[in-house]
Amino acid sequence: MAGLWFAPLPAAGQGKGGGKGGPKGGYTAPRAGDGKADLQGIWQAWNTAGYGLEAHNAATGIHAGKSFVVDPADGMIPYLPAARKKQQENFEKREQLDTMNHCYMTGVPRFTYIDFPFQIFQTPKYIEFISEYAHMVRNIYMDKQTHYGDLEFWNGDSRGHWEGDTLVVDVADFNDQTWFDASGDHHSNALKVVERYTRTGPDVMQYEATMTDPQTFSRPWTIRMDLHRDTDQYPTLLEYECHSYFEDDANRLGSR
Amino acid sequence: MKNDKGINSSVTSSMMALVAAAAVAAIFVIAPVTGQDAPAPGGKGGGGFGGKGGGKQAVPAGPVPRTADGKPDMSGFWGGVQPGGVTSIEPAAPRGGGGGRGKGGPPGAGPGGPPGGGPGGPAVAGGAGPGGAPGAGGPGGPGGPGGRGPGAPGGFGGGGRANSIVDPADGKVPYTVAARAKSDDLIANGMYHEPELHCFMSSVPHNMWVQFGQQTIQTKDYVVFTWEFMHSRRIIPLDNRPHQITNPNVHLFQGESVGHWEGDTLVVDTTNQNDKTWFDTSGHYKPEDAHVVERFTMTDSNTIEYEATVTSAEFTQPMVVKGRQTRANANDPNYEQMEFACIEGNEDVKHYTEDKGGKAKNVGARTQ
Repeated sequence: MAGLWFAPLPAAGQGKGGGKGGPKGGYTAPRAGDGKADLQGIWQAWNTAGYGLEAHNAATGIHAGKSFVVDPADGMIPYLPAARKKQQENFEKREQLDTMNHCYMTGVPRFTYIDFPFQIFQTPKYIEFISEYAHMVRNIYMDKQTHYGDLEFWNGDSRGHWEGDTLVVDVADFNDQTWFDASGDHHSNALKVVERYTRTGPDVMQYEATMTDPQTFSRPWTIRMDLHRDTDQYPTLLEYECHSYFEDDANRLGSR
Repeated sequence: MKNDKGINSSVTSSMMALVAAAAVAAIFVIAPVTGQDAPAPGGKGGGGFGGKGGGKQAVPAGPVPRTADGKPDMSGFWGGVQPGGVTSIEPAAPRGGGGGRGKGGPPGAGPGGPPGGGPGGPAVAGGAGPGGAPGAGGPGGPGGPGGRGPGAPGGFGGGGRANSIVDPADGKVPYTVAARAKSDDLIANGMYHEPELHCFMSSVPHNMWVQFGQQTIQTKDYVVFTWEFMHSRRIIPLDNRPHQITNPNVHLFQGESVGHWEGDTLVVDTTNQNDKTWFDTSGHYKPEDAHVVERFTMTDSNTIEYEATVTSAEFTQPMVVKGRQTRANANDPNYEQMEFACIEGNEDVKHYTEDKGGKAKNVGARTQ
């Protein structure tokens, strides 16, 4: 029956941001061995979300981009005043403070839309995301839904379930070190993220993530964009062992 | 492996203490002494190592499980292929840290830590114990009391295997004279270049015997290994593809692997590795031209026999390494691989000043 199920069209901010509209009715994802939608493949966001989720100008190391925030409707991250000030300070000091300039793990959702692809491997019990960047790995556990609650992880703790053909991943147990993008957009360790992955065509997957963090934001907010599949006959995820190239840079930049 | 902050300080003994201290109720901790810590000047103690796990009854081995398409199903958690190799792949460790190897107690016989984990004191004592003079080695830990597994033989630290290289028969890497001299120099002077100090992925085949065990994910088209240690990973396609990287000047930490089934044996061919990794942590470097062919043969539900043949122009003959993977945590349905941050907290590299072979005085330098 799953094949007859279509993801609902998210209402908020529809038509705005990076996504090309909601899931396209009529497309049915191929099946994995257990009958679930098969999300496997190498995926990459071909967009500027990794530089900045809000609409922004070009700057040193930053490509100009439109907003990927579909809720609130103004396309802005709903920071509390002090948190907005901190984002602006982060932006000014981004060369030193951006964890990616230190080759650290990106956190989530940034994992999904940096300038590196990631590959999905799928079994009923685990769904594994492996990024080309800094050999990042996300274990999405499908069989146990409870977060640890008393721990902090760079990439959070991911628990997944299916809503029809949409993979929904509940991510919590973050630290407060990672950013959402290269523009200093930040969060506290109270962050919770709910991600939704929905294949909308043979080579396209819609990605949506809703962030909740009362210490940083006045309300939850949502981003949306498309991910694109590597259609090579033999798609190949290699490696970017970041710190092997940048150890001297780490010395130059000093501590965060 | 659980960590109280999600941040740890790399391959240091303090990291080990942190990890041990944060062990959760669901996991029995056996004093994880380590010879794996950063090779701090002045020698290091420790030796042998045990992960979490042990202390529970083993799940009896059954027949080889099968995937839907009839292949051996190697999914799950596994202990490393053999206890040697982590500190030195050769029989006599030239540095400290090898002391515990082969001297571990009987597999799984170690006194499992109390549920909830102790304060990790033994880890401090073992990992950061008073190191001997360089070359002499520390006193060594008490040896690995069984792996993170259920105490079955062949897991971490418990096998008592004195050697992992089965060919040549002397158990030594068949380096040419010049290559042996390079290795000896690394052992004596090159610890700054020890790959795990830098949080690098450990390469093929070394990654098969790192600590903290391995998770295998198997689909029709791929076998994927993820290791908690360094969150290292290997992706092995099974779609009968030819090597996609054919230029010998392209080099990767894990190289490029392609796999296929020969009956019930998974055969993996790996090329295009780089020269930044070693076979162990003591200085037996892996030549850049190393070509590795691995064979994984599952003999029962708890056991995978492992063999790797390494050829190189810097060898006088092919080198064959044998070992065994033992299923881990089969009796713990709540076991999960956790995030092991490394570079995020690595304080080791900056302590290597130029006179120690490092670059710590080079603040301001930029190589890009």
